[in-house]
Amino acid sequence: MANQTAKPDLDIVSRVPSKVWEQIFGHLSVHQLLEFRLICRSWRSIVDGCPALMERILLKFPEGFVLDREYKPKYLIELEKLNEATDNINKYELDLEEAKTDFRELLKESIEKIKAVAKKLGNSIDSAKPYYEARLYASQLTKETQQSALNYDKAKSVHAAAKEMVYLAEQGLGEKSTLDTACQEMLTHATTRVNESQNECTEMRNVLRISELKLEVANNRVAKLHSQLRGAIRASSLEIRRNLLIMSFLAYQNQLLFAPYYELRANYNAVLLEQKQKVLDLESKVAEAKMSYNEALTNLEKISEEIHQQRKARASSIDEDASSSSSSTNRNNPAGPATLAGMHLPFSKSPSAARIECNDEYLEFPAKLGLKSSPIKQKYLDKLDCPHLLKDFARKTSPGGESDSDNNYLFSPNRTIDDITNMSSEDIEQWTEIRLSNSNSSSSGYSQHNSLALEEDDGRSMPAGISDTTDTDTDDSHSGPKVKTRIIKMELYDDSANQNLLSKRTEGITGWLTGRSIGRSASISVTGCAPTSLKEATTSANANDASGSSSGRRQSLDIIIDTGDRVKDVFTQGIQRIGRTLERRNSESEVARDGDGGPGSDSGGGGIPALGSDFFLFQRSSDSARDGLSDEQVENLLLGQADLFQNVVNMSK
Amino acid sequence: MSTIKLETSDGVKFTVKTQVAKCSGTIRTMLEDIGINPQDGEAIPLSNVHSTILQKILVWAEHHVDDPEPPREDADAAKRTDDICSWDEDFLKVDQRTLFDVMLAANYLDMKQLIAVCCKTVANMIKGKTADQIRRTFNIENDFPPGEEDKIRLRNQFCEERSR
Repeated sequence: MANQTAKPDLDIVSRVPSKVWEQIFGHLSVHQLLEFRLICRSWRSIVDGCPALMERILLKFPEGFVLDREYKPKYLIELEKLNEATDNINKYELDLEEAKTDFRELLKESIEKIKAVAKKLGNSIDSAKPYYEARLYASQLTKETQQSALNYDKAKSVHAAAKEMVYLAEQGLGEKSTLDTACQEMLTHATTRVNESQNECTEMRNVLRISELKLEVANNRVAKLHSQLRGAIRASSLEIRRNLLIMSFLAYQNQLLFAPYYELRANYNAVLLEQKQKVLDLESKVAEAKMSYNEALTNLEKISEEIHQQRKARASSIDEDASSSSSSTNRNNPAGPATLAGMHLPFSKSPSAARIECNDEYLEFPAKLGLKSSPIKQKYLDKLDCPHLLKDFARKTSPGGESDSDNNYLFSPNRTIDDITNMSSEDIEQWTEIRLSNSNSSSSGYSQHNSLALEEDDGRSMPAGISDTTDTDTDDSHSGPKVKTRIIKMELYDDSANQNLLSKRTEGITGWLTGRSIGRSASISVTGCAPTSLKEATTSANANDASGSSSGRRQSLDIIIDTGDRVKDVFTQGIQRIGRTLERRNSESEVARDGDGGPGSDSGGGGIPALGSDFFLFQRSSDSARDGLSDEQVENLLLGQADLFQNVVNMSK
Repeated sequence: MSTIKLETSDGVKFTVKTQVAKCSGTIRTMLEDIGINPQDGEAIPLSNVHSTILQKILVWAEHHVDDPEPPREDADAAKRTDDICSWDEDFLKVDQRTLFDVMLAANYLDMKQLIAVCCKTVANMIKGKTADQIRRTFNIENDFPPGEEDKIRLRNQFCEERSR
């Protein structure tokens, strides 16, 4: 610089101070400026080092550009989440609706049935009512007693512990034989505690006694009522049985037992409760799905914010950031990077979306991904318009492209076919993956149509692009559908949700059907048998049902009773035999009612067992089972009165 | 009219009118701030300027000595390159080497007007050329590693002229 004559060959760039260059560059357009950055390092550093020049450069995404790689996974994840959430929302909401209708139907049905039963029974219900109420009260009292017994035990143990402490303290005093204040304090403390616990003990005992007394009274009342209203109870149990059999299929469908009025009611309540629980579950699930949907949306917004900021930061230091990351994404850009004129292409191609903020890009994603504005179409249009540019580009980038192919390529709609040919095997692997997913989604007619259309597109664009080996050809033909897959996913989630639901429903239906057919076959096998082989039939039916639940067993027996109306005499023997075998089978755990062939046939005797304070609970349970109404059922009955039948009232209104 | 003497890097001495010499910010600063007395006969050494170039610059300075001080250029005016007056255009119709030498000397002598004209001329030379053409024009060696150029080129697609 100091002596230009001494170094005549020194190149201009290094001789001319950068300030002068900046002035020169200031006269030129930004596109020219960008071209300078390609010329050599010193020019690039001049351009990059001049804030006045750099601030003229506006970074923006060309039309249809897919975001940077570092953001791509994030926002893809969020999009996937979004899709999933919408799927879930739809599914759950449909489920919910279904469950709600089920619930409503069930409620209606139960009301009708109960009403019908009540009509048939007439006075029996009213007369039997006090008995069941007494049962309810008794069961409540049983629980209370249990609780107080527990409390009593606890108090007792506390008392024992306090006593122990007093003993220890006394011993300590005795050993030392001195007046230790601490020991004395301890002693007094322990003594007070003993007293307290003793008080508590007695209190608890009193409570226990009271509740026991109450229970006894209640049980007595139950027994009294039972004997008093035996006729009514039996009527409500037995008379209805035949009528109920008519409704057997309906009841079976809802897994209800053939039960007399109160049992029926209890069972219905249980089913309704279950259904209600289901509805609640589904509601919470829907809420959850919606939450995740919202979360995904906010995340997307956040990411777009980040991108904005990053872009700003990049504007000032475009050179510093890892060129590999962005260049690999840039490679996805389709149109004319080969020449300066080509640089205008992505911008000028669609003036409508000339300046899309990236935030908008997210928000408008589904719309943008529509067929009309699909970036793929855009790509092919570009391609058809300027194939020479692309060819040029392909030729130029191929040497550099090999090194880039190690980078994790994005699934970009803008990737040119030429690019694909440059891909390494790793990329092709991803390609096949995509193909698979596409084939999955192509189960819906819509996407099939799409992929077909795209393949047509490919066919048209092939001559414009390059004609390579068959391998790459197959890959190429899937370059379009691949992108579509995602789009379809977004657009067709409704369909997929429906499909899911449909399959689920069919599954349920088939399950129900099989269950029904089993039941039917069982009943048919019984009814269709000749009297001579009835015993065998019943035993076989019993064998079938023995593996099932106790309710199933009972049902089969009910059926037997029904069909055996004509051949009852022949049956009784068989039933007794079955009962005996069943009794043997279920000697310990199962309740006796299965063997007895129904609650009505019970002798009904057997007064309330002696109220041995600790054992009566268990005896009660067996006692209740005899009447065909388990404790659980009693509870359900209670529930129904408190809660569910309010619903009934509301519904009927 | 007072004159001063200027001595170029190759030892040639020029006698220049003070007014003309004051076109150069560098010389003006020397005279006014440092207080070099031009009457002493002592030449001001311009160690960065060759005599042939200085001669050319002096021709320009003589021609433009009466030019009014240019208005402060705003950003839009700075971008224009077609406002070179015809005399300047003719004046700068020289070989590239001389043009750059003149530009460098003008830079050294802090002659803003001359620099501006030179810059515009160079910008006109660059305008509308591809990178390859520019490299050929200025005989610049492409010192990017292979592939680097393509990367930058691809990234350029994300750049646009910022609308003002």
